[in-house]
Amino acid sequence: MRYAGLLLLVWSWVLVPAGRAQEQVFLTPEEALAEVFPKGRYVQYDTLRFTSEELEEARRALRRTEPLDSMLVVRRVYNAEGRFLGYAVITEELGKYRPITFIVGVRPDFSVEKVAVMVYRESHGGQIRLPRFLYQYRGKTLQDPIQTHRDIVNISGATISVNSLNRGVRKVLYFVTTYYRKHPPTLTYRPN
Amino acid sequence: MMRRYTGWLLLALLLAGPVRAQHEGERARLGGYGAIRFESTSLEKQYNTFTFRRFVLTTDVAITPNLRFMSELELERFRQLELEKVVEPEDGVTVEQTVEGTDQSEIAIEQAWLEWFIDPAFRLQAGGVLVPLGRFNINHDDNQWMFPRRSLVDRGAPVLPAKSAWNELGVGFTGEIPIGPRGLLTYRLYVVNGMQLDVEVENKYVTRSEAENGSGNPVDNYIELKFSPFTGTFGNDTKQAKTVMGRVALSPSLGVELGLSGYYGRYTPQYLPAEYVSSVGLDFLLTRGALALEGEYVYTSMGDVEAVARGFARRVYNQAGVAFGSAEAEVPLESEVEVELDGLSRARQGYWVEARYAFFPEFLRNTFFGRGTQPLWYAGVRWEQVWYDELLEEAEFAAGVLEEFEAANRWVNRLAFGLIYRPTPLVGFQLTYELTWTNKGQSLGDVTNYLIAEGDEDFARAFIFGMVFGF
Repeated sequence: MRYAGLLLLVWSWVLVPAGRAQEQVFLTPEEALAEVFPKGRYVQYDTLRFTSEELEEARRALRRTEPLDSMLVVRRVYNAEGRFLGYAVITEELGKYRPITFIVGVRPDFSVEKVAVMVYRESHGGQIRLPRFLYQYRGKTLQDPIQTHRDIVNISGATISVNSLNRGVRKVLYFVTTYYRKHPPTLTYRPN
Repeated sequence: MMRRYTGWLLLALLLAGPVRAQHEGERARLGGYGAIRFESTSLEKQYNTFTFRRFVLTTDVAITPNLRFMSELELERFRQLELEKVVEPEDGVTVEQTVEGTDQSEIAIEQAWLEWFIDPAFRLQAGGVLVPLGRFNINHDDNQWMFPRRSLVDRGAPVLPAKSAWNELGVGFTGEIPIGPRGLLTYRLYVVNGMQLDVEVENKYVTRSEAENGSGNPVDNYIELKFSPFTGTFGNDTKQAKTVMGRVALSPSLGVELGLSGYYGRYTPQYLPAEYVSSVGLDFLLTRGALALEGEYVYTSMGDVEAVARGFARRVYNQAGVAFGSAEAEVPLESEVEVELDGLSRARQGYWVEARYAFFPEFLRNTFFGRGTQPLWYAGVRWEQVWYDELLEEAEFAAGVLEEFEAANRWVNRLAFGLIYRPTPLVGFQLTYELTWTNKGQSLGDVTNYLIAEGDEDFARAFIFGMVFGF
């Protein structure tokens, strides 16, 4: 019994898990897709790969210092009649400490249909998941600033998260717009 | 038997440390903010200076997914605090203690609370929580604001019962309730110890020339006991009365918010007549595109201040006195002691309104100003007014009787123009020009706590270059 305290200390230090970070999963990929395109029925996947020159050009155009992935998976979404509804991209941007995972739905005219936060891992600033914030992105195109205090209203206490979403939405718009303008997708889908 | 394994257990403990630290990196976050500035004013005794105004370290720990601990430790104009202690056993025992510190320095806990997240609409908070009176105190991080100086209402000529950043020890609830697809109602409601009339001891040593002195004692010692409103205790609430405070804010859409807040509780200690401080605040934020309009109005009543002064006189008995200590042969140790009541007024009210516009000149896009994460410029103006109703100027008493009670109606106005460049939202380079003025022929020093003004200096111009940062 003399060592009970020491054992308890070791147990609490070594064996007890350190506790999860405040990871909040709001949507699975399927739920996220249904959130941005509720009428979507069929999905086609495109894996876009970018050369280092294309990435450099993208970084310049987006005025970004953060690195960009050389690959992007784009979901083309069609409704039950096979009509093309738009593009959906699940992406991540670094928040204050941890990445924020979200989906961006883009209409065929390259404007934003909807943005939804899928996983939020920060301890505060979670207000960015609320529709009252996310509705601001609806209709935005690459021509819009998508910038806090210009066309996006900030959330006090979540400034960095808001910025992360701004960056991510612009990134998705850039790649989807530049790629599919050159490679237009089929506007109808006929399931086998 | 156990003793044989103690070493191994300690080794396991040691080895487990780094592994655990990685996990902890996920749940404990270190952050902070700060403000550095250069200030030049037209006042004679307020010199041009650089100031490391504030450096605040924050920790935010997710103990479990629904338990969180948040703290802010503030270092104000702080560089050094050193304590030396020497005990020498020669000819008895000589004990020597030296305290070295930098001027105007302060270390304070700005907030430290534990939160139990039960539901987004219902979170329990306990500890040193920010007083939700108005909108500034709960959003007081320097790097969030356009102007280097905090508002008069909240800090410089505080209408808040205690200057911002103001926290109180207690317990309460907070939460947010969505109203429709765009609206949000937030609330904070607490019971706390509450602010109180507390004492500050000022020790002053004044040297004089031999010729002027004559008595052979070239140093005078003055002790001033200043009783004024202070943030409530984190220890023993000697007034034995709790305070209630809260704020409700309605945001019909993002960027638009209207807040109503209040604070009520006794502020006099048990040995003085019971008087209560009551405050009410109204605040708003309106955002449209790049333009934002933000403001706050606060009214505070401190009850019958003269009754407090009378009770104070009865209790303290004499305003001035002399304290005698042991004396060396040539230098008698004698201190003049003065007791003073300060910072009270029957009522006070004030407001600030700030308008700011965000922009980025395209011709700067390809210069170094265009680098960074979403760089922006802001131009803005802030207009502030504060009125004191029966501001206590002098309370003279002797033998337990209040002999003179002088109070005056005072006001102070401030107008500030500013420009701030933010290479990233958390960092700003500020440029501000401000004008401050008060009743004709009266000192700004009496109505503000940051200006060093002579008796008739009723107007001040200031130019401030500031840098604010958060991480």
